[in-house]
Amino acid sequence: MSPKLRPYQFYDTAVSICATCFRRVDAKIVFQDGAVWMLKRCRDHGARRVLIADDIDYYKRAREIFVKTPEQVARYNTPVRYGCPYDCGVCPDHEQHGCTLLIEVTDACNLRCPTCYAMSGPERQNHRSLGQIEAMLDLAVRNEGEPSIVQISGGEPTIHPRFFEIMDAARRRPIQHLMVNTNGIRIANEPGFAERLKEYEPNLEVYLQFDSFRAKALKVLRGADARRTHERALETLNALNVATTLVVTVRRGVNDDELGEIIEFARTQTCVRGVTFQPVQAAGRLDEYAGGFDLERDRLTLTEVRRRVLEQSDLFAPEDILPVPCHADSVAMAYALKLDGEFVPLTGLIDPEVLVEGGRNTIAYEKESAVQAKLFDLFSTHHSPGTQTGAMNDFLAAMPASGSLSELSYANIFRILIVQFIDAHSFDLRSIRKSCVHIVHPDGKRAIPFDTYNMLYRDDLEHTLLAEIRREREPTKLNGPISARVHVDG
Amino acid sequence: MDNRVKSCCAGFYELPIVAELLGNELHPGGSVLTRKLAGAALVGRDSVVLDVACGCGESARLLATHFGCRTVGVDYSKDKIARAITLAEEASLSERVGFVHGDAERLPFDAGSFDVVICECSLCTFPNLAVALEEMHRVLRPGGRLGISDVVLNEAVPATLQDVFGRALCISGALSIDGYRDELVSAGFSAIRCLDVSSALSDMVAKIERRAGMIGNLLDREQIELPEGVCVSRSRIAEAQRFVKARGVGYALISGRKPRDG
Repeated sequence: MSPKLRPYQFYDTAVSICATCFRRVDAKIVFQDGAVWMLKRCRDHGARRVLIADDIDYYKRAREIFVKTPEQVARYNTPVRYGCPYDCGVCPDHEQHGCTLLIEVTDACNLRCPTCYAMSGPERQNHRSLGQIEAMLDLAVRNEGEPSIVQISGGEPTIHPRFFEIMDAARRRPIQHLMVNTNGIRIANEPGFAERLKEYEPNLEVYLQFDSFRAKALKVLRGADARRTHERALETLNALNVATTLVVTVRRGVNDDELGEIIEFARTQTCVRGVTFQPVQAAGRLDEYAGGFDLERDRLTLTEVRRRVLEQSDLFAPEDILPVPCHADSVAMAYALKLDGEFVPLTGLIDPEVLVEGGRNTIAYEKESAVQAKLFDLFSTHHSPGTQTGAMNDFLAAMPASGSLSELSYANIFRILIVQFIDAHSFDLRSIRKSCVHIVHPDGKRAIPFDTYNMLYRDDLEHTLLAEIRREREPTKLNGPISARVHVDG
Repeated sequence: MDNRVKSCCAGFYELPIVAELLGNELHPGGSVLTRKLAGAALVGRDSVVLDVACGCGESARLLATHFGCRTVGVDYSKDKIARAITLAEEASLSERVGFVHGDAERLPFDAGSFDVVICECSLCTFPNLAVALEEMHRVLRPGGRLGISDVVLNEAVPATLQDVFGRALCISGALSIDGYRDELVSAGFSAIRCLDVSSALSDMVAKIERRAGMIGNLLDREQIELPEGVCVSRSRIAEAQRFVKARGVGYALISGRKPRDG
């Protein structure tokens, strides 16, 4: 008789939440059919199998190799009471500070995108007051000291009636890099607007929505054909050379075949410093999906986006697109140097064995460990672009025959970033604790991971769904993290 | 002549004594490097992969289980193909893994049949490498990827290694990195990338050295006689290892893409 075998390889147990009721459930991580799956079962809503990654080796490498000592926020915002993810704030059990802090200055938007995780739209005219926004900025500074990246977001932040006063308020604070997350409509349509934005340089970046070259895909993602807006906004930003990142919301079957084309386009734009790909998070307007959000049809994982980038563009090889150690599950990054129109993938310059095999390669390790440290340094997203160049210079100085590259600036960097936000389907407590993109709560008292904010904390969710879950849970008396005594600033 | 070398070479690996010398690792780097090669060639769950010179199908089975793809193996040895089919059945992989007897220089497949073609540690043993690469190019779909792992020759092979043994260890027919690159370009590939993984080769020779030492000691003799006039001795293996360590020879992963409009 042949032995009874599982149809998969068992890798780990996990704590997840049910995608229907958001209660914590037991889960396991398994490898099957060339992919990483989460199997979980809710007492009330049954069993689910969720695709976590379509690349087992990349997934394992991110979890096992790209491990780094977590950096903490200066002050925790909330105590540990109900257990993760019901205490977000940042609480003392969180394992990463905020690499990027979002300040949502308004819920209003001049678009009403079917994919919006924030459910913004023209019907929501509640702009936050300047006083409230200042309190939110203060929280960012209190948590981070000198926040690496603060992103003014929304809604559409540029339609806030006091937008430039908000920018001034941000600039008065010790923020290393200020980003404006925008659909580009105001930049495209209002003469002089981009010129005013440019006055906030250096350390300013436009985070420009740019999903597709096709009207049909834009209609699906944005509810409008934004091509003319893209064109005019980029024309203006190029003319002024305002540092810009193209942000691509990627949805399976809609625009996931255009990633290579977008990278090629980005390379030709003077102002563009990189492209950020964000697969849609199952949050917000899920009812806008035909027949509801469909796991198989609509979800796209980080490794699937990475695979498409590699298939559709020849700029980067697999060894160039690496996990970012601060949140290795959710963020992947590749750098290239832009020199006289030539693009040199930076990560391709070092022996990939050093990165991947690390300590195992005993001969090279001694010699190369300094290089490895530099690279980890470089790959931390908490480096704002100003210090990125410094880290890159240090890194290149450690390389042989690179002396001529010592005079680099941010304009020489081209960066591909893949950011996958965790949703209720893919929720893995191990990973959620490393979330490093935080949304500052409008109460000005908390910074909540992007991932859990959209699941449990946005708008009324905290008072309805989350309140109900909290009522069921026994609050812990131990106010602190599991393993250490830490001061909590409530 | 060419057919004689091909069958001799394929037959060489079927010898129990050779299997004993190599252990389960029929090419440098073993399954770790196979996975890396498949990664470089972007093998995914939806891929249909051809493994040229697949042997008994170790890699084909690994790719099917680890990458979830469908794999077809082709090999010049009918016995190997028969064995590969049996092993795939035993592993309950017959639905995803298939094997066909055939010649790398005349692949028995229609043009554009595969997303990925891999060829591990075998290209340089083919008498006509250029024709084999053209065949791999033909059976790939436009935009499909090629992944080669093979011995890289940086210096001329010493005279004492210039025999069938050298060929069987894939040393004599190997090219330099630039040589492979040129061959891939001539066959119509673009986006060519090379990854130096030479440590896999010296690890493998060290392993053979240990195993040969064990076999030699067990049988109380200095050298192991193989058919075709090949003999393995400690001094010959040591000579091969010196050549590897001096970087006269190395190992590399080479990948390329068939143009998307081709």
